[in-house]
Amino acid sequence: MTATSPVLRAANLSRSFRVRGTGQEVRALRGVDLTVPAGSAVGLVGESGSGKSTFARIVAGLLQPSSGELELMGTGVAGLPERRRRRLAAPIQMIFQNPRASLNPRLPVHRCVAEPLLAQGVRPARQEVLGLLDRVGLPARVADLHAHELSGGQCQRVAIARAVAGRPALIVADEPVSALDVSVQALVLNLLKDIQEESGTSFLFISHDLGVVRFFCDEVNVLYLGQIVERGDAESVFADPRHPYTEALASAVPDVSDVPDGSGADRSRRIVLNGEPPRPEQPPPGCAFHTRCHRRIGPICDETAPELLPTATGLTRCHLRA
Amino acid sequence: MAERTTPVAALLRPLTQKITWSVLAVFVLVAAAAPLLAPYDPAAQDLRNTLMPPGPGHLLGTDEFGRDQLSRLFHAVRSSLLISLATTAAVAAAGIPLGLLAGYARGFANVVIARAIDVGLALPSLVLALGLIAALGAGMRSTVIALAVGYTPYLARVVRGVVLRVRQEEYVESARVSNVPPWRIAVRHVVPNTLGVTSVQLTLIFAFAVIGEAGLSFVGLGVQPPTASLGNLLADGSAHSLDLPILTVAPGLVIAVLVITLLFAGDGVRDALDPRRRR
Repeated sequence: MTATSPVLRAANLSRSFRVRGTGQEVRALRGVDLTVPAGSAVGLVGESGSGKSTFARIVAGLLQPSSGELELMGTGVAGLPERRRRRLAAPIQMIFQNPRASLNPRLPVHRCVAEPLLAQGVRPARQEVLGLLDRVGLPARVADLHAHELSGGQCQRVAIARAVAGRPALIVADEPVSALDVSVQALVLNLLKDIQEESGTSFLFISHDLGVVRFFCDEVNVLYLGQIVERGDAESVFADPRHPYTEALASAVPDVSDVPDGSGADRSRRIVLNGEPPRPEQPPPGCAFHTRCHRRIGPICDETAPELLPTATGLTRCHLRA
Repeated sequence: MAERTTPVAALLRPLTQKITWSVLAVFVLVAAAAPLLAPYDPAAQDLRNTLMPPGPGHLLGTDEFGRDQLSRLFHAVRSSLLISLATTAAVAAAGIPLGLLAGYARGFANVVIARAIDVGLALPSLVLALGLIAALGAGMRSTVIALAVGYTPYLARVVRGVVLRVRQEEYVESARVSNVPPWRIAVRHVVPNTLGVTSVQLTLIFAFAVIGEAGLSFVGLGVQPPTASLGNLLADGSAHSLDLPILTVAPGLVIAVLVITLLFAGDGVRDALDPRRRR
């Protein structure tokens, strides 16, 4: 065991929302355990409504968990007064999905980038801000522009410069490339990867795109209806998914090797899930995935909720576990 | 470095805005210099020359007391603009803090402030103004108070709505994650991004106040004679609207032009304050 504690450890973390009017509870997160070791990139994938953004917002301190434990840099957050909690969360920054909306339209870029430093009580020299912009591949002239004068990719680069400005221990990236053009996606992903490798900053990387996560992350967690259904190192989860849901997600990632022969033989590997995910205010009994599962083995799936148990390569929450 | 235009230059770029602000400048000039511009004392009666049609001595004629209508119109613009300006300032002073508070308050305080604003909106402003003037006594000061109380909920509600929206913007959340203190988020992010909507609403309220003053003075509860105001002029002239229509047409036209100009000015201010439209 190493002496350094993980930057983030969540244990049995849950969060419910009350639906206004109906009094119904939506359980967005249902007992999530997740650890981000220092210096690693951990991915969280799932479709919309799976709870991945809720998890990100709890980690970033924008939401409070309903129950469960959250440790940042080895210190438990629960029950801490607001001031202490904020100080503890200081080395966390977040990158949002919509690059333009994450920059104040009224402020020039250099003020946006300097903000986290100012919050730490440091007034950065202009040269330092220009250095940060240079690091994310933006020319110095951008410093005096406003968000509406930049492209989406440039805005996201500014957001990245802003996020790394205060040398955070953990960057929570919530769908950081989903809103960008595919060509720009690759550039921004490479930039994030460079920053991660150079600075050793940990990442909690949230995406619905398994291909992006595979490229970026060391470990992948697959979230379905607020529960982790599979965990493993990125390569093996992708190449050898153990949970049927992961299998379906993985089969949906376009693969260049599918294309050339055009025979359609490879296309048959594509698993198409039936229907929408169940409504989170009424998760199905038994395995949450049984309503859409293409590998349902019998009544056990409808009746007994599977545990998250070890496999050869990681963890999976499925009765089929081999 | 990128070229940046001053807000004033951006405001005056469109032709409509050049016209709008020129017209407003004329109004302000007339209001400020009314005593110098007016050919006669606006209260001086000349009972031998009552209800004169427009002519060389009296460009807009005289009213039933023989007072020079042009002089009265200049002074009316002065008092009406003064009342509207004071009303707008009072509404801004009360409505903006109230709206910010309502947008920031959580739980019980939020419910109390939001409902109070709703109650204020539910009362018709003019009826509320009538009640207040009944209690305070008619006069310029009462007119300002009555109108300001009536219009404050409108501004507060708009400001509250914008604050609620802006607080959910990603740049605000981003600042929260970065541990920017709440007061600095309010000053740096939230308030500046409410300015556009707030200033448009204020020009609208200015226009409402012009109409409100005219309405109150018309029924005799606003500015008291012999002081001239746009509403008083309408009231005085209304008895002679058939035989000497100029007495009502002139102040009516002034009110219409002033209100329309103010509405255009509001659009201009909004565009100039929105960095996305400014180039």
